[in-house]
Amino acid sequence: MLELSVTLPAVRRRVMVMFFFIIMAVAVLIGRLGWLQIIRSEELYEAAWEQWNRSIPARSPRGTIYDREGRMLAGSSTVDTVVAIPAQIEDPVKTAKLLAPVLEMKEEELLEKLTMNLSAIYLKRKVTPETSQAVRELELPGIIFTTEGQRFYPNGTLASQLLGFVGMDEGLAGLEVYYEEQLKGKEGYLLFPSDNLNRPIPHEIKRFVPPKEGMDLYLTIDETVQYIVERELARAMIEFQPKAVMAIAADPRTGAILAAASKPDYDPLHYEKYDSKYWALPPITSSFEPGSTFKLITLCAAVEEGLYNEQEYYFCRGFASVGGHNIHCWTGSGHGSISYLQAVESSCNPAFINLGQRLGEEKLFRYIRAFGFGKPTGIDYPGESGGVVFEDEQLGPVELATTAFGQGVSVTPLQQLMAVSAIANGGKLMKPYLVEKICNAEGEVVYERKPELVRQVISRSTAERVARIMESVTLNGSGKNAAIEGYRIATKTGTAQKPGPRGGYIPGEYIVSMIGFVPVEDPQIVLYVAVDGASRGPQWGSQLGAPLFRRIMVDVLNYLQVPPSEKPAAPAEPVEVPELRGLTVDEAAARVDTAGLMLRLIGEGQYIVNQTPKAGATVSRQTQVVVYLGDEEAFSRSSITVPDLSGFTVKDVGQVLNWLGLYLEAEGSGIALRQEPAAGSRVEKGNVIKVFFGSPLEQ
Amino acid sequence: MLQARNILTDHRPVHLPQEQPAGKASRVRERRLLGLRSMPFLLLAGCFLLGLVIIAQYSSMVSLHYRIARAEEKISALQEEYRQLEQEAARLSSLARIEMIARSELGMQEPESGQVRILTAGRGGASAAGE
Repeated sequence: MLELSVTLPAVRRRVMVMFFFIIMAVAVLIGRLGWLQIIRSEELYEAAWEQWNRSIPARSPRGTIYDREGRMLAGSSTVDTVVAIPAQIEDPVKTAKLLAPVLEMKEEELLEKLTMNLSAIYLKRKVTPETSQAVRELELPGIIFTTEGQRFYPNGTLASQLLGFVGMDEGLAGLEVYYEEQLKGKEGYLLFPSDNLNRPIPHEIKRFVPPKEGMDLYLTIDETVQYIVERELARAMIEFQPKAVMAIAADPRTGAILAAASKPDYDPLHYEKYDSKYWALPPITSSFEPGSTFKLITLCAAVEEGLYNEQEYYFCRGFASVGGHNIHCWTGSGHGSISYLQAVESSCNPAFINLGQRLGEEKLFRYIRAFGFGKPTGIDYPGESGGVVFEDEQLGPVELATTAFGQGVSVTPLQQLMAVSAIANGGKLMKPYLVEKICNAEGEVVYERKPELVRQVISRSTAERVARIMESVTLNGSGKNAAIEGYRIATKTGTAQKPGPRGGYIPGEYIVSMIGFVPVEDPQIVLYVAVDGASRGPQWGSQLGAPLFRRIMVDVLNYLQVPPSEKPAAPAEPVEVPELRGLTVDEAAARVDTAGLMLRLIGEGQYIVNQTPKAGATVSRQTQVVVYLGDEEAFSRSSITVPDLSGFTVKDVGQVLNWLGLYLEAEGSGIALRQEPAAGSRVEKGNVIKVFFGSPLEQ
Repeated sequence: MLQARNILTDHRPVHLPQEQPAGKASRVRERRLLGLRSMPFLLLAGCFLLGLVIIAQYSSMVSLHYRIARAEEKISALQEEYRQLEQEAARLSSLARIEMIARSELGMQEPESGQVRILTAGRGGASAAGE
């Protein structure tokens, strides 16, 4: 018999060893537990969530767009989207029947969605709070909500072409698409636990991971300047009845764009109802022949090269012969003997052809390219046009001659604005920009734009000399109607013919423009305006572009509190109103233009039959002379055709109706927007015409 | 075998060595033995306490998680309310609306040409300009 002898110490040792191993095993298990629960907890938790849960994306509100003063131009709020989880729906037919009237959808369409083999499906996106509440009250199983961003433009159509618009999920035009990455934010989720058949797990809690808001843009645009610009553009649309009008303003010292707009425009919340051609921003995306405003580039080049002398005389015969072609001056009959200063003031084409010939092809086009023409400026806006200038191999004497006075080249208003900014700021071509800074959702600045110098194109002395010449255009030339008492203003008008689809130009169709900056001694704002295809009024820069330029500038200078010039030109002397009765529109326009007055037309006909103020009256410059077009018997007939009164003030409307033997019933204040009976109606003398007056933007 | 079983199943009280006045070493041995005997209980108690702490912390974390989720929801709701108010303020202060109220409700209108005169103060004084 084997005798086993185990002593107590030995037993204790074995017990100790066992304990040690057990403790070690427990320690390892605790360590592993700690590793899983503490170190890898987050990662495993997320992995588990993905297995247990179904998710529905919750889109973030887009970042807000503010103007330079922090005023909201575009904001976002969150709205509900109705979602169905088909596996959770107990009675799809009943659910579809109940939801159809609330969601304003067809029952069949809903039923199809409710029975789809999907974990979740959108039923209707971005519903109104009322619809959302109505669906909630139905308490239907399997019908849940997620949130999505809804764009909001507090100023309606203001700056719509600049801001762009947003589709269902992303920016589709303007700054909304250019800065999509910054604005869009980060998606969140609505999570709900479910089994592998997407059935809900009882007593489990739905979890909402809120989306992260996009970044905010702070623009260089000033809301008030933009409003002034758009209001005056809207007024020009009513007064001149053109195809389109546009304007763009900038700070010439930095290249920061203060306002940019064109009319007609669109409502960004209902963009689909408008023709897509209105979505673009023509001052940046459209290029066309500049006309006489381009003469400033030729002038800069000639001054810089020492080829221009204000006192030198030139004889304008009304045309210049170049390469076997006669290129005509806009006057037709010619300016006669004029100094080169007067050539700029009166915008003489042959004189500028002569300057172009002095410069030669190489030098003139070197300056044109140096000023940034022929390629995009690089502004932060989608679809910028680069314009077209002749290539070296295309150049001949005719191309040189036409380019010298602004024909044959195609440029954008923005390019012209930057070129004139260079004249204003001492010769520096600046890169234009629209976004000043970008802030994240926490308000921290993540990007800040600094003014960027492209190059020095002309010397400071040349820039100052050209600015003085432009000032004399305002004082003595075609810019008289843009003058503002107390300020030194540099301007240049332009009237460009519109090219036709089959080559050549469209007869009688012009783009009338004006460009300039204020004040000459310390330029703070540079502005370009253009009226495309006006159907009412003489198509002259001085008669359409200048008053539009002036109206905008007066309010902008007041708003920006730009102090008046220390040494402004002496106030213009009052002028005598010329006799206009019996004249055609063009003849009358020439007379009022020479006098520094403005012509406004009412009625239809070839000849002027009446005018106010009367001939011989002494009035201040820039006074509007309203003339009635028609035949001699217009006022003596008992039956009258009601004229189109839109765009006229109460005073003018009252005067015209008085001529016609009609009475005015005025409502509101501002300019005439609507009238009853409509223009063209036949009424008997003594009838009352009801006219609604208001802000041009109300129309 | 039987003897071994006897040894293992020997329930007779173990007679510890009698304390002797000079037996310092034996006292130390006794304490160690006591320590060794109580160690499993201590370890078990420690594990139990550790478990309690972990459970308490986990429970606290879950509770905090719910509170954070509620706070996040509240922040989200407040942010949304802020956005709505900001938009309402922007809409109410829109220049088109102000101009419309000025014209229609307050009866304001632009001055006619010639109704505004520019006054210029003396040198060094303030200037006023207008249309």
